[in-house]
Amino acid sequence: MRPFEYHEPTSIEAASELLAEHGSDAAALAGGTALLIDMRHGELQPRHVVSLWKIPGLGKFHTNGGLRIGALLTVTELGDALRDPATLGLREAARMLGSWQVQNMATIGGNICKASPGADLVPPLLCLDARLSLRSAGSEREVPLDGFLTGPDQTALRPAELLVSILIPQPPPHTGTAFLKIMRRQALDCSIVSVCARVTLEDDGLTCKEARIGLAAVAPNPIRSLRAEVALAGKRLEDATIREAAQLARSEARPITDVRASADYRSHLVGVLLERAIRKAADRAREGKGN
Amino acid sequence: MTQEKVIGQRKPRQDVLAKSTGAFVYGMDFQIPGQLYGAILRSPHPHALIRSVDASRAQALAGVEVVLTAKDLPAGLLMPGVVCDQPLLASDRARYHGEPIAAVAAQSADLAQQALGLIVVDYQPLPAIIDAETATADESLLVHEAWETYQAEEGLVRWRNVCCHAALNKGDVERGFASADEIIEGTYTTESVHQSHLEPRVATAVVLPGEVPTVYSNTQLLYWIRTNVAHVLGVPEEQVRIVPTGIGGAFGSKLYPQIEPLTALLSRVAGKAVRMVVPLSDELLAGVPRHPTKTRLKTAVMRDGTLVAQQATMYLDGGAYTGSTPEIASVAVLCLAGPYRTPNVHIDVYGVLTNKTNFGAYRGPGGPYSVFALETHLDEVAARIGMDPLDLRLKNILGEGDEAANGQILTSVGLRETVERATQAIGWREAAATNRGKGISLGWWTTTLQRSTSEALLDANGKVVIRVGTNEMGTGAIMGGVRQVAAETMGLDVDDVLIDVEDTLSGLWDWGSQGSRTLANVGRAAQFACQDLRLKILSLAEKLLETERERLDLAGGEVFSIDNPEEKITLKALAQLSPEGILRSRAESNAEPATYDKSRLTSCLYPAFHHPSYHCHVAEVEVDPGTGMTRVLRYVAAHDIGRAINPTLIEGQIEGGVVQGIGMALMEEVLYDKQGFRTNINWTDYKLPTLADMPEIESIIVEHPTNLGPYGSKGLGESPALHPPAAVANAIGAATGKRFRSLPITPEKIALA
Amino acid sequence: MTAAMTISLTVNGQTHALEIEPQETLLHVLRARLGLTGTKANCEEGECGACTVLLDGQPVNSCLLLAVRAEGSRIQTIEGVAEDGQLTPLQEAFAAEGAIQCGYCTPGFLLTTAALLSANPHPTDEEITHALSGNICRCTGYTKIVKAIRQAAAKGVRA
Repeated sequence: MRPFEYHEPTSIEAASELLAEHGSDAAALAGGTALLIDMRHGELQPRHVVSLWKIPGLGKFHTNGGLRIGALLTVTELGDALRDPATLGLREAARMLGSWQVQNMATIGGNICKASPGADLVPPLLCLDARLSLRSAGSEREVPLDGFLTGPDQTALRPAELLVSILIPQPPPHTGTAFLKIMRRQALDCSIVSVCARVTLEDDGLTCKEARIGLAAVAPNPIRSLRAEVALAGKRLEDATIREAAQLARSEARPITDVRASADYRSHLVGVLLERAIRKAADRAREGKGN
Repeated sequence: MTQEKVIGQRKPRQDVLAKSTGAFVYGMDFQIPGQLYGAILRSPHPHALIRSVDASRAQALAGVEVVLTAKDLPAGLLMPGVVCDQPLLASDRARYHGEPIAAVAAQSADLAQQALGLIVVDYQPLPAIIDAETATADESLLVHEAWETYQAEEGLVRWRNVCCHAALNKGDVERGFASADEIIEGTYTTESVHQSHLEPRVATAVVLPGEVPTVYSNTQLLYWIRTNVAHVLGVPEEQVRIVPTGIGGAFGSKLYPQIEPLTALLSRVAGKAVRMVVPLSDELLAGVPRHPTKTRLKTAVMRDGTLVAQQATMYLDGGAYTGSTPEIASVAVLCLAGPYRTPNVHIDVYGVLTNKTNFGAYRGPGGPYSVFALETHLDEVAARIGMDPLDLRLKNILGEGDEAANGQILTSVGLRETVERATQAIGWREAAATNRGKGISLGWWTTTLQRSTSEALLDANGKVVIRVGTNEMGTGAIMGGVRQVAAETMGLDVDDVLIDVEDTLSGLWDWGSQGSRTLANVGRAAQFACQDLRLKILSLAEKLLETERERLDLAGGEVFSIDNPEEKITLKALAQLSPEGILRSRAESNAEPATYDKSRLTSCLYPAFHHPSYHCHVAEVEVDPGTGMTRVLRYVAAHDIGRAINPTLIEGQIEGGVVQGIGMALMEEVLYDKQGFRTNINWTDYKLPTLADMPEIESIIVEHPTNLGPYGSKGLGESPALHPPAAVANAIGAATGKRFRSLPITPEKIALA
Repeated sequence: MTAAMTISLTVNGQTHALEIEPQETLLHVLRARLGLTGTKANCEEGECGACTVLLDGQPVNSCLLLAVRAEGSRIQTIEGVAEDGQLTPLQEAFAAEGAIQCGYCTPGFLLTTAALLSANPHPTDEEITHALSGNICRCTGYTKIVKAIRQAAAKGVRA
């Protein structure tokens, strides 16, 4: 690993100034589980590493109607904090990310900002309409997660800007989410495809009021399938409807062939997994309780 | 027959205490103060001419002490082997992605890496020869243009890219095919899989003027490393000291002199100690993993299930150099014949050179791909004639006194018992639930022989020290098995026996911890040494106790009179009264190889299975038809291992072999792209089974003792890895109704089938 | 070049003042600077678990953690598990059940398991699997490791 200077700013402003000063020569350090690998492989060679860990408050988890999740909350802490049926999909994604060791180090902010095509936490966060609180020395803004990721390893973060927290609005009643991930083996693996479905039901417990569909490892970044969401909204969740939504999502996926799987298999999986995820999310929405 | 006290017991191994506290010193934990750090520059091309190598900038970097390229080596230096075709460093041509081009020694690991980046190599890329079958064609490009000039072992049939054509011919297959009710054909392919020992390969060399050249290595085979180091240093073998360091897994990979000769040369030039670690990316790029294969099988069968004829053609992709491909080809011949009575058999195995890393010995080399081809093919045969796969096998398996395809006569054959017990344990005849299925695989395997030497001595405290010439690589064969054999023979508890692994200056020559041979051969040598030491002890006691030797016995750390047990002397007291000092006995094991019918085999360097072991595995899987994910629900493995010296260690070998085999069945593959570049050189992309992938494995020990290993034991280490690909593939076949003829059977292959 | 930095690490209850380069991982510092070679190295990307140590009681891959980040935390390595040379019941169970072959993965397994049992003294098989899927063992097939853990848990062993 190329030598670098290590900085431990104690405020967001100071961190932001360091990032501004060193520009592309700087890297922000969260959990480090991705950054250190990239640095060891020489894919990133920052001369300045800016640790965020001395900045107070970035690892907090607040519930107040919705959720405000500090960017440095570890994946283990995230999984442990979620119990609600509406956020079970996010919990499932957290529990399937890497290993326990990695979950103890990796952070929610890091998983988002690494912007990898298969980022496990992103599909459920997209389904939960997550918004991101971004700050720099001179500014503060809030943007939707949807649209924040602009390519592999690329985000809409401005120079000197930091992801501070993730905001999840309170899900409507009768909401459930479910996350499914296929890997070549049963654990400790990158996804071949992962999907998350959110279903909010009408009071009748049968009609889908609103849906969100998130897919990962089928495009340069995790995406929502708007067509599938539209196809579900206002419909009774019968087999044909669910199948149609899954097929629409398949048509929106743009998978590639790589060392892990072929584009054909990925496309196939989107259909299979999404049908299951939608049903599971709907069941959770109906039951209205966690597992 | 006396009742054994230690044999068959679940005694603790000598090394577990240190291994559970972190105190155990592995090769990776061994350093020499003032050492330099070695690193290897590897070819970025699968096949290229090397026009020039300019190391001057690397040489000029402060802190870099040595840079070696082919020019610095003796002209025409080729490494020892069945065919001497491999240079230490590529000179005019790089033949695989990852082939060593240059080596450096520097004052830090970072500097060594930097130096590699400063070496300028002018390559002219050439098309790579990738497919083994097409490489056998006369019009194929050559991996070695000078193949005819290489020195090679006599009797080896080879030409152009074919480094070995091993064949077996029994009966008349054409007549068999003409007379049969049904003929079934199939083609089966397997990918390379890597040993993926958890500890890297590492060596530290100290080659200084006027001193014995010394290399510390975590090898399984000290004396082969010695041959190779002596070869490049140009000194007699007996003058080279290879010192064993702790081994963190090997599985065949650490048989090969991948770094020791280079490290020794770097040290000699530097005049300092040099340590070389192979990083995981290099290990996965350019290690010595299992051969990829393609096999065509054609079988003739009668409607009652009688196998009439079988023809097999295997292309065994050897990679860029011959290495151990010829021996492995002949092992594949014997595995393709299988433990069946088939009267007419014709088998051709072509070891073929291609522009890939040199494939070699990984746990059961020659085995898993052959067994996969044969045993899944037999399920197809059974399906064709509407017979239960189990019944087809029971009808055709070899039994006591039968003749195997190579003409060897089999004795102490526990095959039928393994089949019956394994299938009973899993409930073979019970119907499987939806999306579930059961699969079976069975086979035979060798206990490799060759020489082992051991010395037993009675130390001043009355404890017995067993000195051996090969290292414990994790199985427990040395630190558990040999120790129990010695303890039993000496009438001691294991705590009173210490195993000491010696370096090559000890002269305790040994063919190494490999080939399912370790306990049988090293244990046998130790047993002989202990028997002799026991006689020496009794002779001394005869004088001390004034009792005839025939009326004395040795047990519980004491020599006593059989007629009057009160008349006795402890081993400690005896050791201290020994007029000739420490009592010691040296013995060797060099057992007779199996005999076979030479007329049936051509170009087979490993023509018979010595004291064969027999095994049957059955798996039950569940397949998710949507995603193609397979879960192994149950796994039962029955092994006839002759005699169980330590059941815990035996189960450990079975369970460990099964996990590696399941990896090969479902997820592991060493990938090359169409141009011959390696594409998955980390454990993120090369998948090893995790705990979540494994069922709990049920091991069944079957004992049909043989007259080789101590107390009747046969070899065990490799055979558990032979069967999971076939057993799992057959179970998936039963669960899905579809046949999968290529490994690994990934979720993708199942879902898109 | 960058400046060396002085950090203080508390390993197995003992505090060490160390001068390190910022890029040094905890794994490197433990092995090369403190001579605690019981923590094993290989893949350096969190895929094998051999380098597992406990950081404030939680298992982490020490290959992916800059040493400087461990400042102020309690670090436990395999060398700090046995007390006064006395094996813990968990270590004993691993040794007795045949859960150790080559042993290179053993320190990582013991530490991850210790963390699991400390938080959850009677884990289900599913919980054992979730906790230990980040530790690769290439020798044992895992069966005996799980048996050793179950046995230790049944005895009410915390670590």
